[in-house]
Amino acid sequence: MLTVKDVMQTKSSDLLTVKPEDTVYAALQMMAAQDIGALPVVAEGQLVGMFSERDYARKGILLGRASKNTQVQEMMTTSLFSVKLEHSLDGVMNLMTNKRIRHLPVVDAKNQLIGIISIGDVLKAVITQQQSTISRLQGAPTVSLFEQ
Amino acid sequence: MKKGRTILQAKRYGVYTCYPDTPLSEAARKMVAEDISALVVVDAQTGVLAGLLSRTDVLRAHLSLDEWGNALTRDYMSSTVVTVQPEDLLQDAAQHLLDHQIHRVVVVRPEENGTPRPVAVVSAADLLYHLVKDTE
Repeated sequence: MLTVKDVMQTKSSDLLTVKPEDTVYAALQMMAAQDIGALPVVAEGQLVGMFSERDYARKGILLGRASKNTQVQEMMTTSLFSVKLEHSLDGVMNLMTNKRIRHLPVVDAKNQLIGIISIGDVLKAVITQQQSTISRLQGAPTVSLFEQ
Repeated sequence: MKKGRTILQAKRYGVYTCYPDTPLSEAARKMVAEDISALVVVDAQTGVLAGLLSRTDVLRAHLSLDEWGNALTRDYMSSTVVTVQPEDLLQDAAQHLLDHQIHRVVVVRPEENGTPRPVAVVSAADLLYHLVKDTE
């Protein structure tokens, strides 16, 4: 069974974060430059929120709030779900699907942030595993996760 | 022959659209109102697929503009769109997402004259939903 750890091992260990008092503009610039959809917000080593494109779309764009004068903490999401390395990918998939979450913080036993797992990461891991199973069983009947 | 569920079997038809000449502010408002992450851009006259405007495109535009002004969808949309057909397999759609490092593909049904008309969008979230459903 795939776990969060399996996925995190395939990702770069670089972890980009912002601070609550950073401007939304700076956060959006970082997201655009790195082509990522969400950033964890960290204060004094602790995860305090997530700031996503969706947060900005919902709380910024239409309100006409100038992102250069608005701090991340004014728009970030603070009610957070997080996962640990030993959690199964099935559980992560359920959580993402049921709560409509695209990015989940990964924390260690002390609740310290160690990474982010995205919906794209999960999909990639599942499809890759599926393909590797098919390769191993070449010539034999295969079972697909997509099958009815 | 590969087995598996087709997009047609898994996905209800329906797309949120805008036109190339739709003001970007209006497109952004629609995305927020519907809580969606992309709009399919169609030709106003023919309904043929013209592009895709994602939330990322809108945010990047917002970063580069002081005000929305007269910015139009056509100036910020992606005109190269990865498409699939209703008879394609869900797993093929997933492969496109991985291969092209994109978040969604547009499902098109060719008209009698061969022009592609968008009928649905398959996103990473849709695929995850079906993976979860299939393993329950």
